[in-house]
Amino acid sequence: MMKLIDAQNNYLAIDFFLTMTCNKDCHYCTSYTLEQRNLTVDMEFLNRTLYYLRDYKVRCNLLGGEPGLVKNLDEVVAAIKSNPNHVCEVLSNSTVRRRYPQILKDPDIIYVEHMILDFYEDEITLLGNPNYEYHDENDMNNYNLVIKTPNFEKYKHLYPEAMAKLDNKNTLWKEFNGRAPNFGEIQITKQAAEIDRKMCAAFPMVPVINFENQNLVHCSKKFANNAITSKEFEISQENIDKMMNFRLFKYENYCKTCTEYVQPKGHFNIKKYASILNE
Amino acid sequence: MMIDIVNDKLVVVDDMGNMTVLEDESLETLYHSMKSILGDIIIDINIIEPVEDIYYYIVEKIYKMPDYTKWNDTEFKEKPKQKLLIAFNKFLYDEINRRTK
Repeated sequence: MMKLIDAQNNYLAIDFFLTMTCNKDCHYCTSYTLEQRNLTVDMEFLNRTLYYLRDYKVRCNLLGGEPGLVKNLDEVVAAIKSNPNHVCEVLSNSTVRRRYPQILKDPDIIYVEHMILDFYEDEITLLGNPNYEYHDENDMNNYNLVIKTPNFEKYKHLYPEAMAKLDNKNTLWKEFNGRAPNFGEIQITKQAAEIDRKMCAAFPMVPVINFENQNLVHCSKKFANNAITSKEFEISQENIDKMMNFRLFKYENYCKTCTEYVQPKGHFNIKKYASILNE
Repeated sequence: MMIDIVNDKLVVVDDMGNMTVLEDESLETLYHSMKSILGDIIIDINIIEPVEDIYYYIVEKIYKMPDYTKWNDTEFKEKPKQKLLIAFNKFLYDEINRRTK
């Protein structure tokens, strides 16, 4: 079974935006549409993309939109799992728990559930089924993801019971960042140092395979905001090879104003760079 | 102008052959950090050639945050080591030239 920490340290992550359709409308998310569209993944495109990536250690993050709405998600997961170089990760608002419960029972799939919409004075609003419990500590690679929104910081002390349930190794805490449309007014993290943004530009935390346009997108943030279009590239063996060897992406103008959170120790740790550059 | 290493110190050699020890703590620290990653260090302007941006960025990151090399046991293979050495040489010459100007 792949441990999350090993996947994070030794694999480069790529977001697979399978569909932009979502069944929720989180205030901090701009990467979705409520329009029902592209709910069947083009397997020819997926298989071709995975073939180009065949020799690289890649963590394929299935998201969108909501991957649980994809009709052939089982087929997509099986295709990714067929290559030992690839780790399959699914990020869901809990729709996957409802429609594809077998994914949670497969410890080879890293399942990250993003089920809290936000914290308020009188309630924690949930994204999914209110009867779903947070994931307890487990060895099945099932994780809670909590975004530390300004409301989380403000009201978390009102929910000691929920905080205790979330206090285990299977909860991932994510910094609030520039994905909120009105982020400028409520910025809670400083812009990362220029060198960290440069390193991020060379291979972002997660570049995107956009299954709707069938192309490769430099940065999920700009792609999501859609204000300044992120650089896009054709999916080809040449471009994939360049990307995986830090030769495709450059420090763009939108990187200069980017406010995406980068951990203070740097974009990736040096061991990860060594592991990739040594390949 | 040339940069060299004498007694494990960075020195600048001017066109007349005069040597001056580089009294710059940040560059000294960078030199020692790079040495811990690369082993032997050669300072030679002639080895500078274009390498991928990521190598320049790693050197700059180590310069700005020397602890960056200390958080993990890091073993680079020969090819990336060679490119890091090139990036380090370029960084060093650019930095000294910038200051001289």
